[in-house]
Amino acid sequence: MTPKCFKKESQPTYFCPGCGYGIILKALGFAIDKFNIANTSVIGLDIGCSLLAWDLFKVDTIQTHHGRTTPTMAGFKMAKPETVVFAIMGDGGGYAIGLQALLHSAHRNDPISVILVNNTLYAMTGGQMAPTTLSQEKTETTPSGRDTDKTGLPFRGPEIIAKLTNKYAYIARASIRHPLVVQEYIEKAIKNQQKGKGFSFVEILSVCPTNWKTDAHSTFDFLSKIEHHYNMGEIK
Amino acid sequence: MKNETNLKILIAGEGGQGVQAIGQVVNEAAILCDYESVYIPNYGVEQRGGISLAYVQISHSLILYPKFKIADLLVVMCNRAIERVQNYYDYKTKIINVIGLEDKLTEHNINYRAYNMFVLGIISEFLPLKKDSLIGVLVEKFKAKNISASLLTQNQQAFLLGRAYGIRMPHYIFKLNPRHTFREKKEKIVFSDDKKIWKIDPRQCKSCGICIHRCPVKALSFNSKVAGVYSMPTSTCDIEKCIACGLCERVCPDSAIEVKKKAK
Repeated sequence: MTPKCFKKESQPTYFCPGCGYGIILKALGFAIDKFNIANTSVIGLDIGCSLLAWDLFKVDTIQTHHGRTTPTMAGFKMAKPETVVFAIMGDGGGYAIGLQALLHSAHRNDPISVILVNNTLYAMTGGQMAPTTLSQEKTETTPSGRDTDKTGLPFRGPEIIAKLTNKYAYIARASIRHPLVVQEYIEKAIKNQQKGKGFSFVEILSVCPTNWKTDAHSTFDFLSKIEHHYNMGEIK
Repeated sequence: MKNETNLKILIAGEGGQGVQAIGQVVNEAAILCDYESVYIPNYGVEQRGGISLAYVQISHSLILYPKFKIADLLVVMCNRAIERVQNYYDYKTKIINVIGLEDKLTEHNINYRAYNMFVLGIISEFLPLKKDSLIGVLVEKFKAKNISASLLTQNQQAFLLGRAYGIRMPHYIFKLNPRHTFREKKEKIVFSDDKKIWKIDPRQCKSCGICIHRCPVKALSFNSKVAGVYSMPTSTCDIEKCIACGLCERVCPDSAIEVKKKAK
């Protein structure tokens, strides 16, 4: 079952086998279908694995500089308030290089929807440590596990953004284990943007079998560890 | 004094098939056998699913440059690689076509992931190396990766099977036709009974195994002989167990699965 706003000729996608982006973009596609906004929405993609979706939708797509997806889409929304804009990025683009842009956009309460995919590492560059890497998690740059005394605790983005935004903001965290919940939260983020008052932010816990070096069973075992560490649900 | 040899081997296959592992094992075994040997991988930004090439050279004299223009031994492991190796062979090149021999492993109940060691077994006949040195390197490599003992024995079995297969049937060597087209499974595979229908599209399935993990009644498995996008088996459905809940359809990242209940 494919969303109507997917391009048939760009299937199969460029994503690795078992990539969480497939599930998330499907949920986004169904949400776009439901509101029938394929012609009036714009998707901004960050550098990283998210850019592999550049030709996936029958929706206008922009690919921005690394971490600059949020301000680009906020600017687009200011110029054309009637469009629905999505900024899709990974945890490296959102919480490392693009953090100041994300925080200021939340602080200004720009009426945009940000979808941040958190798989606890930099996937496209080969699996280096990211701000969201769990304590004792092994990555390419932390071969004996992340030492939180030296590198800080795993970054909780939605909780921090919740404190910056006003009462109209919508902030939630979901996991790809439950694709329908992901879709529901994205739909709420779209509704909130259409009201035009507050910032919408959905963090989605995702998987990266290629860089975790896991098969399907151990991928979901590790995902449950991540789900245990980060609290799931609607935050604001 | 040994004879002068300079064997140039090019192994081409789908990323994830274990192309680079073959190259590494041959290289390390050659060094153990007192040869000069150089191995260099070549692939794109894709960590899985691009065409992956492994260049290996075995020689008695010093090797100055790791790449080469024309291979002496060319191993082709998947259809998509054929186009990529067009410029690497001439009339002297021995071409070994091992496309679509995964069935040989499943016949002997060996995991299809050991396919690369099966291929190594086939080409071991053409290498100036001893069988034991190759197996020794293989065992050490697997021990360093902390891989389970059963998988290690399966890989060893696959190697021996490939070697036996290679000795018995030498007709797999052929000239590649530049306009070689492969049989592509164009239609969906359908499993159905009078209540429900389960379809999978091999052109979309990347064999990630998420549907098999998430199935609540364990109706899905990797028993298919049809290859998916990356030359790995697609999942099949035991339609008697299936309850048509649609979870596999929902979680499939590549939209390959379709489940429907038939109207009464």
